[in-house]
Amino acid sequence: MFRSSILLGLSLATWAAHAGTVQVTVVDRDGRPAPDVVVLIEAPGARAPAAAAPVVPITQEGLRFVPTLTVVSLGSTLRFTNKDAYDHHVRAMPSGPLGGIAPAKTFELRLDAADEAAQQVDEYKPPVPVKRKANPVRSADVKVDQPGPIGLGCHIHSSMRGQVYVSPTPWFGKTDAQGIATIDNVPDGPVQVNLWHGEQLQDQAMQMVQSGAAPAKVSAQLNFTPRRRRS
Amino acid sequence: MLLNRLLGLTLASAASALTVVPAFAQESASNLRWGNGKLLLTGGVSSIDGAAGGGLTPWAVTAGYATVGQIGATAHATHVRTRDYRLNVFGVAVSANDRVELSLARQDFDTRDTGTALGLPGLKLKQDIAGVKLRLLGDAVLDSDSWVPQLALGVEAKTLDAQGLAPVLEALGAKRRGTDVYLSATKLLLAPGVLVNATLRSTKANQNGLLGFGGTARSRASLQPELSVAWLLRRDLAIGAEYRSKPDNLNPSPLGNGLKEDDWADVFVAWAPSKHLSLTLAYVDLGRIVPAVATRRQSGTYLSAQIAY
Amino acid sequence: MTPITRCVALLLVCWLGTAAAQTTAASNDDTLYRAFGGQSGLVQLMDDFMVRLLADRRMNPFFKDVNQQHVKDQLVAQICELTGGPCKLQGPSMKQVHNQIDITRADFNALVEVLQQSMDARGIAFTDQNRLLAKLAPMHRDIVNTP
Repeated sequence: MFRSSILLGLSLATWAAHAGTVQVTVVDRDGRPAPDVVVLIEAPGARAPAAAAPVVPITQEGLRFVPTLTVVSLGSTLRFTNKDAYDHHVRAMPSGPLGGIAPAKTFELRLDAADEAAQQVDEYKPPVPVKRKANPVRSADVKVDQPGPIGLGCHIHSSMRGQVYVSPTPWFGKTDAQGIATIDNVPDGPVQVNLWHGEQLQDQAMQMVQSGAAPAKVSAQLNFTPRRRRS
Repeated sequence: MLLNRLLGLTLASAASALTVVPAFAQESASNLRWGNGKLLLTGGVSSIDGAAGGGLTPWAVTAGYATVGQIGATAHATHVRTRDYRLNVFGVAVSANDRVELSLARQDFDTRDTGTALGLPGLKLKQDIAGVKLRLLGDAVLDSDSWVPQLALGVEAKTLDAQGLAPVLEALGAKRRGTDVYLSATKLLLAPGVLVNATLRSTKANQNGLLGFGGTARSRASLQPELSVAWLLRRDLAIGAEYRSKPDNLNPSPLGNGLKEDDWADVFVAWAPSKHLSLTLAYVDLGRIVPAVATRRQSGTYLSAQIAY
Repeated sequence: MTPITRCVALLLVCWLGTAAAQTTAASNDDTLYRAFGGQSGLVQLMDDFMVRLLADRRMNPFFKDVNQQHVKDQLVAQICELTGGPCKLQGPSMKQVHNQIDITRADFNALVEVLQQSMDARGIAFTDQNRLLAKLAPMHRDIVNTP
């Protein structure tokens, strides 16, 4: 009785110990917080949880991809929805500053204009009724089953740029405006923290950290300074 | 009294503007590059005091072709030939971020027969002018949907080397040094291709400073309006006219009205074959200069060349 | 130099797209539209303009990777509308289109210069050129975003 309760307690403790959290704080080479950095955690030898296959929305609004960076798990479905008042031809583009990384998946989607634009189209002109197609296609799904980056672009509007990263591991995240990413449910033991940014020329240094009961904190510095984005 | 207060206020704001200048320069100092991004002729030419503008009057534009985010420089040489006198001017100017302009000019005024008549043969009056101009607001060229002009505040610190004439000027109460403060409003009306400039100058200068500052009739600064209008005939060619009112601080004097001073005016043609060179030819009327000796109005030609980098 | 492909072509689209701030422009008067040669004149002007943009050392990086046909179509429609022609263009705002690219005042002026060269080549009178520029110029407030 006593032994079984000890065993139960130990297994419960082991269960609880699996909920490790890793908090990664990233700054750029100038020391400023770096947002939109992809964080991937490799836990060699750990058993991956059952793969979820979520539908992840990426909208086109105000001539932007929202969000600009989306990190998803293998097997996810990207749902592109056009909320602008004009057509977009969303397509997969190479990643990297020199366009040297081929996209993990290629696709081209023609998405028609939305009935009501997400934002006011043009603050100077009154709205003009636009002819609508009989059966407009505003949304399209793309299933991603290969890991790696996928650049996003629009064939019509060349300034529209976004980024998708299909994570090879189930433990991933992206840094927020303060440069902080918090990844939960990381298995115990030594884990490898990898960083990636769409504008980097060289791979970022990898770090090892011990994941366990207490939240593991990692500080990292990019080997370059990304271009500052306007809001 | 009111003018005194106004002058004091202007000088105070000029002083505070000058302390702000380093802040302006610093905000993008690290990003400034040599450049010539302005559109052709929109940097004006070099005025005879060295500041960018028309031939006789400083405008609100900054020198040369450097635009926002850039730094640029100009150098100019001007020769004025009137009935009885000659004036040569040489100068340089630097502008940064289309915000601040610094200029230096040396005027060399050959009095010729008048000097001889005054017992000073070969008299050449030399004046050094150090200028600072700060663009306060507005864009002279691209704000074509608004009436707001480009506005700039400028200061010209003038020092006269009167050589043999110094004792005479001293006797007349004219100082060797003086500072002009001016406010210029410049606007290029894009659709008709017409540039208009209005300048208000607070000055004590006699004949722009060549006969000292202040004098027997008045020793306080006075506000003098100046006006320029130019028509763009082609991208590289403009014609125009200027008018500059002047104080008359040495009239009356022990010489009666022999040192009376008139307003200045000119009509000009400016040609910029490239962004590196501009040539200005004008017919000037500098009114009477020491009419006690030289009785005729000093009209003649003005020729100026400016190089820009 | 940003790593992302620039699309200053849309600079022109927007350049022309939101000029209606000054609706004082005679919208019923199409003399300027006809001075530019109407629709076919504008198409030829924009074809020539794109060639010159790509040949210009300063502008080439902005235009080499854009959807050039789309840009030209937008430009024609925009100038058509601005000069009193029969076109109506609705599209993204100038600010939106140029927001993702770094555009300086010098870049804007350089584009104006190339447009002037195109208009010269097409024999458009200086006064008509300036009338068009007067409608385009205020767009600098939405397009120039650097510094």
